[in-house]
Parts: sequence; C-alpha cells; structure tokens
Amino acid sequence: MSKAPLLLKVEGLRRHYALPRESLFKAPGSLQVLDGVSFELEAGGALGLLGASGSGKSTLARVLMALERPDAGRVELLGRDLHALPARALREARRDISIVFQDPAGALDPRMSVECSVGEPLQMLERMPRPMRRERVLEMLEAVGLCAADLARYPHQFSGGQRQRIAIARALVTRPRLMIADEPVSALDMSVQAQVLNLLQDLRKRFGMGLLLISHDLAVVAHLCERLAVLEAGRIVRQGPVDQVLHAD
Amino acid sequence: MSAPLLHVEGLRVSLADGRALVRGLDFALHAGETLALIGESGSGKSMTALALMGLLPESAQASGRLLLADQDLLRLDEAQLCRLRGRRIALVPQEPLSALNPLQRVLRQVMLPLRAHGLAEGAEARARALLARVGLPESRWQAWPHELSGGQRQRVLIAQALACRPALLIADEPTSALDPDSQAQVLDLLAELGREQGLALLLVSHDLGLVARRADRLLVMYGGRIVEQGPAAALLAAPAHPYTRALLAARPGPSTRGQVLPAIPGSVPAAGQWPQGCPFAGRCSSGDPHCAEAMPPLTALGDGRNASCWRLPA
Repeated sequence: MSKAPLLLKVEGLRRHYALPRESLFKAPGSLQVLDGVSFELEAGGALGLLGASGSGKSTLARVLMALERPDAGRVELLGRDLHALPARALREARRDISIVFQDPAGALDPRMSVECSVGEPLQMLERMPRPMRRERVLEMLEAVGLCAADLARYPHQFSGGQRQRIAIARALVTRPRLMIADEPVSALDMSVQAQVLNLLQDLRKRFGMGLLLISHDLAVVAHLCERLAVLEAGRIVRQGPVDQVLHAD
Repeated sequence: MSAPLLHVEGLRVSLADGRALVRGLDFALHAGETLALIGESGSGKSMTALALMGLLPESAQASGRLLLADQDLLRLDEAQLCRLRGRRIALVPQEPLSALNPLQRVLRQVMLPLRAHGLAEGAEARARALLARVGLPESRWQAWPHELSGGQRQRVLIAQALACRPALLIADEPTSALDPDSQAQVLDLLAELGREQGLALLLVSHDLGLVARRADRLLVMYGGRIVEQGPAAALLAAPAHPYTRALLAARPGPSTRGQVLPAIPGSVPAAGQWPQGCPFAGRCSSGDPHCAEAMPPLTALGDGRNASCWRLPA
C-alpha cells in the first residue's frame, strides 16, 4: 500500500468530437480534443492546468466531472474509477468533486434564492433534510464571507465578486475533496480578483481540499498552485513544480 | 509641444434619470501617442469611448467639450458625424465576429469604409496593402469571417479601421474576446501601427497589466472620475493614488505563492451610486471620513502626472 492515497489519477484520457459532415460521400471528420492526458493530484494538493483556448481544458473538466465519457483512459477519484461506477455510486462520488465556473452570473439560477442554490447539491446528492441543510448552507456562506441575511436574497442582488462567492459556497457545500475551478476570477473586476484568490487559498487550507485550477492566466496559476501542467492541443506537453516548468525552455 | 489632436474638457455623461456615469473628465491626446484608458465595470471608460464616436445610447446625454483638432464633436449633427466616423475617427470594437458582415469576404469588408467615404479609387490595392500590413496571410484575404480565428478577425477589423487613414483610433477592449497569445499579438500590432502611422491611439481596457506596457500614458478611471494619470513607466513605478497602488499590490504571481494577497475590500459601487466625495472612499485603506464627503481635486504632481486624492504626499 502507498502511504498517501492519490486524490485524482488521470490516465491516458482521450476524447474526440465528430465534425459536421462536409460531403455526402466522405465520412465526417473528427477532432481529437484530448489526446492521451495523464496526471496525478495528491490529496490537498493544487495543480494548475494552463492552456490556450482550444487546448482541451474545458473538455477535460467535463470528463473529470463525469459529465462526459472519455473514448479511452480512466479517471480515478480516491481510488474509484469514476466512469465505471454504477449510477448510485457515481452520485455518491460526486459529493467529493465540485466545480466553480468562470461566469458566476451564468452558474446561478436567477430564480433561486441563495439558500436554495447553495443547498441544492445537498438535496440532490445527499437527500439531507431541510433544517440540516440550512445549517450547512449558512456555515458555507460564512466561510466565503457572506451572512445569514443573504440566505433569502437572489443572485441579481449581489455584485459579481459576491456571486462568485455564492458559487464557491455551493461548490463547497458537500465538503468535496477536490474542487475544479475553471477560470474562477477572469470574469471579475480587477479590484475583487485578489479577494476571491485569497478565499480559494484559505478554503483549500481549511477544508484540506485539493484544487485543480484551469486557467490561461499564468500569474493566477503560479500564485495558487504548487504544480503546473501545460495543455496543448489535447496533450500535456510539460508538467512539474511551477517554478521548474516556468523556467524550463 | 504641439497642440493635442484630441482635447477632452469636462466631459460628463448622464442618464435621463440623473445618474452620472462620467463625471468631469479632462485629458489630451497627441498624434503618435498611445493613451490607455483603464477602469473596471462602471468606471465610465466605455461611455467615454462611445461619446467620442458619437454613439452613446439614446438614454445618455453628454456635455462638455470633445475637441478633435478644432472641431467640437458634441456640437456636430449626425450627418457631420457620419463624415468623421471611419474617416477621422475609427473604432476597433470588442467582439470581432459580430462586427463583421458574415456574408461578405474580408477583403471587400476592408474596402467598405473607403467606398463609404468616396475613396473607391484604388480601394482594392489599399485594402490588400492593409491586410498584408496587419499580418493576415494572403490565402485568407478571400475568406469569410467565420473561417478566421478570433485573432485574424481582429486583424481584419484593424485593417478596416485604418483604411481611411484616421487621425484617432479608439480600441475598446480590443482583445477581451481573444485568447492570451492573440491578445498580446493584437495589442503589439496596434501599438506598432500607432507609432508607425502617427495615430492618436486610445486603448480602452479593464486590464491594467495587459495594456500598461504598450501605452505611453495611462489614465486610470474609477467611479466616472480620473483617479490618476501620467506617463506609463513613471506611474507604474510609483503609483500615487491608493486605488492604483492597491491594484498593483494585489496582483498575484509566482512570488506571492502561499501568501495572502493584499486584496481591496468591498466591491465596485453600482454606476451612479458613489459616495458624495472620493468614489474610492469606502474601500480605501488610507482614507478618512472627510474623503467620503468632499471630492478631491485632480492635483498636478509634476512630470505630467495628476492624481485625485486628499491624502497625496505634499
């Protein structure tokens, strides 16, 4: 047995998308979006995934969240092969992994109060009764710097930075072991980006949570992560400790 | 020093309900100079760009003076503005795909402003030269917009903007729809063309880090006001206003790993809901109650620098 169990082990992920048919007499083309992606993340570690648009970052996030199946390869979350789990077990595994997107306005249902939005994963994934849910939701809101008075408010009543805090609270509410953050600050005003970066750092430490940070912003990745993987055209072309990757040519 | 090409004096932009989005803006821009107008949402930067183009939404009213050479843009009627737009003042818009006609090949689209301004003769040769200059491969000149990448589309729009040899080029968030590699390339191209063609270039951006190195001067806006302006290098080396200082200090990077960033507390107030005094008062670490009550004047600091703060070192 190894000493520290791996939080996430990704092996040889491949995923292609079919392109629209261009001719009646030719097979439609295909686009290899992930072309054998492998990496590992230790429990509580932070890995930055850097790549230009079209490099496969978002597809990778969807495959890791088990929202899409890979053509080949496996994703192991705490030793479980995510894509081989039966529905019920997958639902349980989903508590351990959550995601924060770039645009908090699009990630929150405008018709749902903060309490409902943040509590929804508990209802869906844990069938937690309502009073317990409220307690946990409040705990998470306080962890991200919001308060009880915000429970009954709606997304439009908050600023962009506050909405991202709500999205983060929602991602935290099942106490996941891994948080995927897909460009978590690039849609925010300059003067609130640092607040959200500090929050992510703080929560990681407090909850001992692993972080997979997807970004095109080297400064943000270098600030939050110890390790860095560079994705290019569906392949990881470099990976290692941040300083080593940055200073290798 | 020669007279500035563009002279903005006391520009105010307000909405019909009385909310002011730009609250007294003064700046000058010389031919051959690149000025970066930097601000976050609600700072008034885009309204300033729109006012210069005469393209403010109908609900907004501009006052003050916008002098281009000797002509006050705010006194012109629509027909006069039409003769200026694309000819003397050109715009590189934010979203390149929606700015291009999907049903026309790009070479013809670069010729459009020339035809519109009665310069049809030699238009095609000029369009070809421009596309070559902005670095679009010749194999793409007859392409449709949807066949180009975001960066290539933005190059087409830059060529189009330059077609009639404008004196003033306004680029409103020209790269926010592009990925980081293309962002750098497009900004470098704009800065290079600005110098080469003696353009007065106004770069409007929310990203201080991205545009700062490519501008001669920076103008930082917050809450519809100028908080600080001056030559880029001097301003970045020693920012005078607490807002600019705080923004620069809160930037993440490899050297800040494991540290808590000195974040600015609070969030940007909604447009028109600023304190009576300094718009940054509620979030400033060095402010006092007086700051929220009275608006600090824009104070000259020497070497072409200004800042608007009650707490400037004497």
